[in-house]
Amino acid sequence: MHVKFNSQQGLSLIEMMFATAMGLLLLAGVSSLSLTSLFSSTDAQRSIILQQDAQAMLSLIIRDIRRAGYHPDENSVLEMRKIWLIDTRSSQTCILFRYHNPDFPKQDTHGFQFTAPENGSNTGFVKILTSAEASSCNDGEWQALNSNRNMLITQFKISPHSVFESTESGVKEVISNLDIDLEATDNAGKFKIHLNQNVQLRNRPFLQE
Amino acid sequence: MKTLFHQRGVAALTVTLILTLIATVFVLSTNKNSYLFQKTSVNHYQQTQAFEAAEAGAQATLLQMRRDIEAININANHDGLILKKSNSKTPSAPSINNCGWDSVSVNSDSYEYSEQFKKNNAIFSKKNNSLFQKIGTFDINADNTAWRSSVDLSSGIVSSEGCADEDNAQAPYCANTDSDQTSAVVRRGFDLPRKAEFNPKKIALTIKGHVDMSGSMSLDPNSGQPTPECNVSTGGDFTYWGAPLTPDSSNNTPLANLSNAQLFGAIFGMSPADFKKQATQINPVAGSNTVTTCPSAVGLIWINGDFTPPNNCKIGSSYPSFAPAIVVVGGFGSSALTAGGAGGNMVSNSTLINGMLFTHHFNGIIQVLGAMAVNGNIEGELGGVFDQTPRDCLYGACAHRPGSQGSINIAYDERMFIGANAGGNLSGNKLGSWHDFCKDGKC
Repeated sequence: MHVKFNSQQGLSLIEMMFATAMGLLLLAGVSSLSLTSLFSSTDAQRSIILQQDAQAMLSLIIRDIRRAGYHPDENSVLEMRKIWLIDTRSSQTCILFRYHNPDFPKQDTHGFQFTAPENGSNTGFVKILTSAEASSCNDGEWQALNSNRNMLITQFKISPHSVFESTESGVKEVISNLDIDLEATDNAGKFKIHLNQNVQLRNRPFLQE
Repeated sequence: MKTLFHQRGVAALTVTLILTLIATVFVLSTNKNSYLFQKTSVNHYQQTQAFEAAEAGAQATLLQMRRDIEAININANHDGLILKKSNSKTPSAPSINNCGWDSVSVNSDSYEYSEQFKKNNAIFSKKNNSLFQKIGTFDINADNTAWRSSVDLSSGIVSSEGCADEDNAQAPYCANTDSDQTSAVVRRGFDLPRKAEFNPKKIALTIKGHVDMSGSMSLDPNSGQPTPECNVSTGGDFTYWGAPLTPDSSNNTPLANLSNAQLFGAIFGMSPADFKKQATQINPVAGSNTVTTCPSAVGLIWINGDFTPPNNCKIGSSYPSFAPAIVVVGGFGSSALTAGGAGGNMVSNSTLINGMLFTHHFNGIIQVLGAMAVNGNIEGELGGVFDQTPRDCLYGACAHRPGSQGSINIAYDERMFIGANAGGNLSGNKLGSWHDFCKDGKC
């Protein structure tokens, strides 16, 4: 039997199957390669997500703390220049401060506090004060800034740096800047991120007892 | 002519195309995530940049104001970038008989916007179209940030807006409100410094009302210092039992006719409100209208009420640790100087003031190294009530009237008040003024 090559025409089944098989083989090779790199980059991605979440949270906290002491009316400034740093246990940090924002005229007291993770449970939150006033850290309404679905806070530490200012009623301690230390993990505890930032308190609030 | 499907290799081509398509979709969907990550981190970076640009703008603007004031101090006609001196009349030289009270001009030393700033109302960071000069050898913005800032002299606030992601070719910077570029606002308060020319008529002791007391009065200038133009100038009667002095001007009608604000302006060159704004304010304890503590502050001091300092209270210091105190007893309620009243009264038991004192009625023993002005009378007082009757402290009788005695010792010293720093501070660190939000003019 004698078949001329150049006399073949059209798409034969054999040809089609052969091409598909070759293609699949190629695809399997390429995709196994890319899947490997994808899985390894997923880890990197998760830690980036964690870092970004933590950074966003820290930025929000810093922006708020920086405003401590502001009031548009000079006569009310002394009422606002107050800051409370309460560190009852090493596992709980709480900061309360005051400033006046005319958009929210009733909420002059602002604050953040940290609830440390309890053993074995999926906790560890930094909370923001949402009620208008709070006389202490156990008072008022607080709302968590992080959700335990994606980020847990393992450490939130505030180290104040103070200077002394002489006032009418003697020399008093004012806070000139703060170091904020934030350590967070993802919900599985696989990744950890540590952020440390300094905040300048331009309005120099007086440290309250 | 052969149709498409009669060409060779079409199958391979089709399969390859489909595979490429699948691969592309896969790659794109993976990429989308990392694009989002990049966007958020760029946003965060730009926010930080914009904030820092805004801070730099506020700082640079305050620096420019300091430069303007320095230049104005050398040449009063200097038109700075932001500030120029507002025109004020120079006080006339005192004439011999009435200690210069025939003309009263308020010696204002304040600043207003310069012509350039009036036209632009903001200064921009970039050099090519900027009013602003380089700081040292550095261009202000080497990166793609920019700022523009404005100054409100009446409220003493610098507003600076910083923007990230600026285009070099595009101007004005930071001004395009429609754009979605990242921006941040920083606002800081300041006090304009002013060079004081307190007590321009150079009078050691000015009394708008009368003097009716017994005791001793000495008005020798501080050692080595020039004598005042006038020792004592009174608007009313001068009876000081035991006083060896003759006032340079007594029953001085121009002085007696001055309003509270006029006398204050003639002595301090500014309104009581301006003075108070720049002064350290001393408040009485709650429920009282009298300050009974000894102020530890120096510079401008404003007593919010009457003033009865404790015995041997010393305010301010002289050479060598030169830190004078300019004390104004401001009063309270409707009698407050800022409310147009006459101010608060002072009862003194051996107070020493290095600087100046301005009070309403006065009673007691005092030593002032500098000069003293009384908006009311120097009179007898008992339990905070002043005896306002002139000439009843007759020879001998006064000694039996409790509270009618006191010695006034003024060692005239111009250095304590002329050229004194009248407060103000352009560092922009006015406490409690910093903020980074402002919406619809509400800050």
